[in-house]
Amino acid sequence: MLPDNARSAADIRPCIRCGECARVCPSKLLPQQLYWFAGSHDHDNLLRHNLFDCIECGCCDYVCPSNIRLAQHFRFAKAEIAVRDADRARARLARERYESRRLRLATEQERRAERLAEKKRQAAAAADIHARRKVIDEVMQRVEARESSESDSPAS
Amino acid sequence: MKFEVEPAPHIIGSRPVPAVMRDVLLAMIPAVAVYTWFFGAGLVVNLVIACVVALAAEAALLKIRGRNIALYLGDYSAVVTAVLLAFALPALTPWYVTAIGTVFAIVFAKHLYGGLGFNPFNPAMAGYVLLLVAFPTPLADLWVAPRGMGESLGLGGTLGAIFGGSPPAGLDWDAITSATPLDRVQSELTRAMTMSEIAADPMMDSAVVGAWLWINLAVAAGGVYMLARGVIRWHIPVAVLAGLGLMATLFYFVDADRYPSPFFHLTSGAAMLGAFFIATDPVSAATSIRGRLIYGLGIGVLVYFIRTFGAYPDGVAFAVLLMNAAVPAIDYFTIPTPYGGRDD
Ligand code: SF4
Ligand code: SF4
Repeated sequence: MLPDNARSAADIRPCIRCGECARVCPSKLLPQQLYWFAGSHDHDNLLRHNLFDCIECGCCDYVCPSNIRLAQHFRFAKAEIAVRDADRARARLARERYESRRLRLATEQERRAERLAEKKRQAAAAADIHARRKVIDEVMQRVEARESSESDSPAS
Repeated sequence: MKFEVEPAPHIIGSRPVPAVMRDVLLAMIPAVAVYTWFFGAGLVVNLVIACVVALAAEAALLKIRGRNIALYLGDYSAVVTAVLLAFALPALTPWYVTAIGTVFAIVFAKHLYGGLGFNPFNPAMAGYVLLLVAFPTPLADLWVAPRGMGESLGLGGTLGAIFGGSPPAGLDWDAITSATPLDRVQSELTRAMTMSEIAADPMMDSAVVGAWLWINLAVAAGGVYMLARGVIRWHIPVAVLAGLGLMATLFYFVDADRYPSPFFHLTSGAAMLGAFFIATDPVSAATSIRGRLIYGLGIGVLVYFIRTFGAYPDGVAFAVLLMNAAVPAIDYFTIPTPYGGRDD
């Protein structure tokens, strides 16, 4: 029922670095190196070796004498990197949000403090005018009182 | 009925690793046959010793490391290492020297680095260099005289020499051994002889030079078989031979009396074995096409320099190990541009 050359997981062997996979790769990658770095989750080296140029065609699987699931490893590594990138993007976004919130709160605080100070200054100023007005009023009252007492006295 | 769930592709078009390794062994048959014709049964005895020791060491290490013994022992990679190492040793090497080299190759150069696929150095050459350093005398002096030059040993005499460590009664080592052409040329050149004087030397007669020429041709034939079967690709062998040939030609034109001809270099010692069987070990070679060309050229050039200016008559083992060490750097700088990418 299965063809003779159906592949099975029974005889997967270590990569002997024969290079057959690199010979057939239509994207001209080095699948054996990608496989090596995918195994060690070395994402920087995977990107240096152009992992995302892999089109997951499976040509490398087809010729590998060690029967390694290369394309499968590459799919996994791509997903791993995508997850990593998404995590990083989320973390960056969260950090940005936190930063801008902190900034906003700080600015608000500052403004409130300014407003408060302004109010105090105005109050102080108002209090000041009040006091002066009182002095003037007293003086005016005194003057008025004197004037009226003078006019009350009989003219001589 | 239950099917395995597998990602695509669901069929494979490759020959599995054991088949590839079997092809390497098949490709060695002409060379072994020619070698045995010229130098007697010593090589076959060494091959048997090395293979038995290699398989035992491999099985023991797989057991210790808890790996699938049947799967890995059946990939013939230990046998290939053993055959290459035994082929590089003189035919009358004492049995324990061969065994020590094989154990070192399998245990230290291969399994301590993680086994098949993970060894940065060519195991056979690591074992050979260990022996070259640890047992310099047998490795320099026990080269058998070719058919028609020395006394013939026969199988009994060969076994006596390898396991007993002594030449057959009535003969001494000098009667049955003779220096290899490379060795001869090197020692004569250091005595300030010229190439034309060396060529006239009876010790350099056509028997011994011819024997090595035929062996190298047989090795090359095996190499061509592997090329035709797609076991190896042309880049590394061509680059090795080009590196060695170019350097030899250059120096030959500078002074033909002090430097042997490129033809002599390409057909003596381990030139062809190195180019087709040793440098092409994929595990320890560079990765990309460009990297492999650089790697092969480096080996060829280093072989020339070690042969010409070094203390050892042949330099394939050292050259291969040195370039093995350079592989990470080569790989780092030779990542190919992907399809549609910009070459810069
Ligand atoms: S074809 Fe398979 S064994 Fe060969 S180098 Fe590629 S991954 Fe490794
Ligand atoms: S699956 Fe990817 S690495 Fe393998 S041959 Fe296709 S493109 Fe190249």
